[in-house]
Amino acid sequence: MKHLLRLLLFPIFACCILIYQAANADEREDDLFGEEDTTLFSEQADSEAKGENSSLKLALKEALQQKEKHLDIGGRFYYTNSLLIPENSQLSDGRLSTSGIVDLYFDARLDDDLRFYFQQKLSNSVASEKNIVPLVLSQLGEKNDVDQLWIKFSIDQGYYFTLGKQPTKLGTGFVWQPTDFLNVDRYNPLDLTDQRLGVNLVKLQIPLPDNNLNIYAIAQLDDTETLDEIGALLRIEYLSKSGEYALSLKNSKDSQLRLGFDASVGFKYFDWLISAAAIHNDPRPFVIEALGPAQFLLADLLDASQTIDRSEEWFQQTSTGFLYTRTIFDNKTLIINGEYFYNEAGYTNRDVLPSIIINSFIPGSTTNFNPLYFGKEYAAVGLSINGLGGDQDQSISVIAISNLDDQTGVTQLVYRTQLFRDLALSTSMGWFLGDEGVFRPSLGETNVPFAEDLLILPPRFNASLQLSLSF
Amino acid sequence: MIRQVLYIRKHIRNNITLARLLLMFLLFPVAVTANTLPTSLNQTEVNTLVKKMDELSRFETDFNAEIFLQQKHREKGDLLYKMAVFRQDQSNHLTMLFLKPKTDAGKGYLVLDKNLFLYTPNTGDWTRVSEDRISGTDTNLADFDDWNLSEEYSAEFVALEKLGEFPVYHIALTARPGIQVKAQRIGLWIEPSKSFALKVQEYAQSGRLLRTTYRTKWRKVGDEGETQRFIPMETRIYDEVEKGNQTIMVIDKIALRQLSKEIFTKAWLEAKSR
Repeated sequence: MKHLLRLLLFPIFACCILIYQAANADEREDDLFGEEDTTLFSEQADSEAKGENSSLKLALKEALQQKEKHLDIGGRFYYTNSLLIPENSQLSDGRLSTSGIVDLYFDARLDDDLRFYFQQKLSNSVASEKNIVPLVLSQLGEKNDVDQLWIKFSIDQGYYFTLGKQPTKLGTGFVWQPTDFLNVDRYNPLDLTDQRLGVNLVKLQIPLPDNNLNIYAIAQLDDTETLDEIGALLRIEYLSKSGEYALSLKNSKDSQLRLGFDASVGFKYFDWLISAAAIHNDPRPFVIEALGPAQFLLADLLDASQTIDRSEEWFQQTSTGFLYTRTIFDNKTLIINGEYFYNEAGYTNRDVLPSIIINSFIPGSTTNFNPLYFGKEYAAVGLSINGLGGDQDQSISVIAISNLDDQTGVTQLVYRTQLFRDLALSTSMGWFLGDEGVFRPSLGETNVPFAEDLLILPPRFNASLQLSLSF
Repeated sequence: MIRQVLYIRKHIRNNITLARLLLMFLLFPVAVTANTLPTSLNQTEVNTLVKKMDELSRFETDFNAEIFLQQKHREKGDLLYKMAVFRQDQSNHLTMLFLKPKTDAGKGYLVLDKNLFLYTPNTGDWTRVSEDRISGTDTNLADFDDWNLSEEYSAEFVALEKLGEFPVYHIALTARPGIQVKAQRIGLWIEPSKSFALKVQEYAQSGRLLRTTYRTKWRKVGDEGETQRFIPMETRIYDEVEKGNQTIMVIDKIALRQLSKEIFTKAWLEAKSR
């Protein structure tokens, strides 16, 4: 019986296939030969038969081009000359430094959803800067280093991964970014270009456009040896019609916990920005006792009696500001921005400043000196005019930053222009103002042997000229 | 023989007269159309025309295009870019991604409602930007977006004029009080049958002419039976302040089709970026 059924079914099935194939063939033939004006045989004789530039051929050509693996090699060269005039010095005593930095990259596009990128920072400094106390601690220093090294891929167009050393910047502030929990170095608004190196991360980004949400889940791998030292960050961004709001939560090694909130909201005439961070278990000691000049010794790390442990306390850092933009002189753009920063964890006692600066030089020290995050209260105001010059590619900007605790500050003027198509020029001049304080630090008299050679930054005056070239 | 010649001449003369008549008959609709174009429009007609232009600039379907952008600088030579533009008018989203040259590849803009984000690949930084001039060219984001002229401007009929050989309506727009716009006054030269602006002039508040834009080589895009739109395949923007600077925008590829929502996200733009 089964055999009989098979015998009957087989011809029916075969007929179905033949009918289906015939119908398909009819459709195909209609497509290919159905039009009356279809040219079957071209009468035109060519010395070389190239075939028609049909849409099919073009599509195949394009598909093949897209399958090609692309490797771009290029970079950017920065040539910088700086002049630093220290406290109580003449112009002729100014310290000159010249540096050349090349960001050389290899960018491989292996597929639509697969990328590899490598960027090496190569630097060459003519003058040694090892004795200059940096304004903001830098990872780079004298050495050449890998700036970026990552692969990117996405799964189902919904999960975007970036693995490796990559640049990142979180937060909304212009000068202070307390919610930028990932970068090792703080952003320096006085730098002509942001030369900070990338951060070692495993980053997963999940956009949820239906809910106006963007989620980051990040593992930070810098300075980690064991699993429990891996830092974890979760950030959720929500987009409204005219603003963006973000919540961040970061847990890093030693159980340091940071919570962050950012908002950037557009109103009719200006934008309002806020970045607020709450920090728990900050491992840095808080210096309470200023050392006298005679006590400064080379190997003197600050000990427990001079510091207090605030690891059980919560501190908040908040920056808030505005951005106002309008068109002036018909086609130029005026930008005015202002920002206030409150740093609960900061110092008000400036007497401890020399101890902290000296200690930041001693290997193993956990203190560091960053004038932008040292005090408690700061304010900044900036003004820029863009679109100047015949080709509208020049800009002038002025920024003034002040520590409200000790009334010291800095004013910097920056001029930028595009000299040639691929060559840009930036120049800056900065004056550090006020009496002794965060922006005008002084070591006073000290027994530390290397202190005499130190050029303490910020200086009294600085000027920079930078040429940057793309290739 | 002479009679034959006379006959042929008469026949030809008759035929010429016939041909003239036929020609006049054929040209009649054109002549009548040109002559019947009203020499002025009343305010209701002007408002309707501006509203129609807004509607024509919007797409019911999504839109993506690859565009060449050439900036001719008076002194510094030419800048040439290739960029991809993705537009979703229904949600008011726009993504622009620089594809070439490699020095600019990966730079991108993302417009989500009234939020304009700029991604800088070198620093991994997303910023809300207020300056929307595109990478040193005379173009700005509004050149790639839909129009909202009827809401932002009040319109006034100027004259029926000729742009080359073509009759066009010249309409003057003035920004409505309290509304922030890129140009305070705009002059439009509109092709009457299809209501597309062939020429646009933008003025500053001082009355100074800033830019003149010509939109040419209009091509119908879209599948039969679905939304079909005329798109200017070439646009020339002349900087009227700095004479000699101009931007040429040429559409290489264009398609009206539904786009994935992910294209209008930071994650997608970052993934395509350097």
